[in-house]
Amino acid sequence: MPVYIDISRCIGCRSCEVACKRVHGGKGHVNVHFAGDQASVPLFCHHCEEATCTMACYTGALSKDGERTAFAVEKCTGCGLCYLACPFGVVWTDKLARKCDLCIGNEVPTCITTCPANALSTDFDLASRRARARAAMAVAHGGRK
Amino acid sequence: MIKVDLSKCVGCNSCSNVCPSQNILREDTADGKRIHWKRCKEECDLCVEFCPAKALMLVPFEEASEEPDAIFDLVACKICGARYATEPMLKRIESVLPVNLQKDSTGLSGFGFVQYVAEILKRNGQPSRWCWGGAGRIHETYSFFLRVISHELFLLYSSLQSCF
Repeated sequence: MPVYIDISRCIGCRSCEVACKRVHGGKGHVNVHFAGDQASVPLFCHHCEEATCTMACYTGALSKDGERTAFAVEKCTGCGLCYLACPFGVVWTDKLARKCDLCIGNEVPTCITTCPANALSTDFDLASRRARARAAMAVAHGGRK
Repeated sequence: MIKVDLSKCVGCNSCSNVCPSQNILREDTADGKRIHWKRCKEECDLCVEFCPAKALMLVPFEEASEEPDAIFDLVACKICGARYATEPMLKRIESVLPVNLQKDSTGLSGFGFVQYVAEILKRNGQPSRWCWGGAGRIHETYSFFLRVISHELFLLYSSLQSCF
């Protein structure tokens, strides 16, 4: 159940960052990036199918648990290999590693319930439908140059 | 006592992190890192067990042996210039990745795309809050950028390209 992002809806308010920090004791796992004032995109763990952090982790602290990439803090040695292996830069190593846990225990991750623009969802079909609609729209208006 | 094979050490600090008696010292500076193993009389082998490179060995205590030091230069990010990791750590990660995730040269897919976004950020004079590249040189070895977001970002940024 990864979280899908519809970046054309993101308004760059950083509510998801705040919500994540609130839930995880001051250390959030979401970062909103800005391309000038043109676009913004929240980045967090994609819970990759072929998760490179789990390949790099040699103690088994990071592992695939169904669709989720689970992190077991008691096995972590703080080596930082996962931080280097993550292609999105969304696993951090301070003393120990930390990453998005999809707010385990909650029904829906807090970033989703917080987002005022409905840019985040767990529904793959919705995200892909919107993307296809937008691609079709782009083609209808002459496509990209 | 711990014997260190310095040619195997990757400089990850795991041993220092797990040592219960703090006999392994670490020193991080802006462009390098140093790990120092003190002579220790403990019979524990936590560091040996948790070394990712199997560079440590438990040997009988010797008073005269010298205390080993591992000194690493940090590799600089090719995009932002920040120094972030030791060379052996990056080599290790490259070696554990399956071949299909390693480098290809298909332009805007994969890492090329990330670099492209980083370029846009730079051109706008807007420093990203952390460098996309700086999260790992390993970025350069990727040929994928995941699922929906890749397509989404690609469409959005390519339509924005004319604005810049």
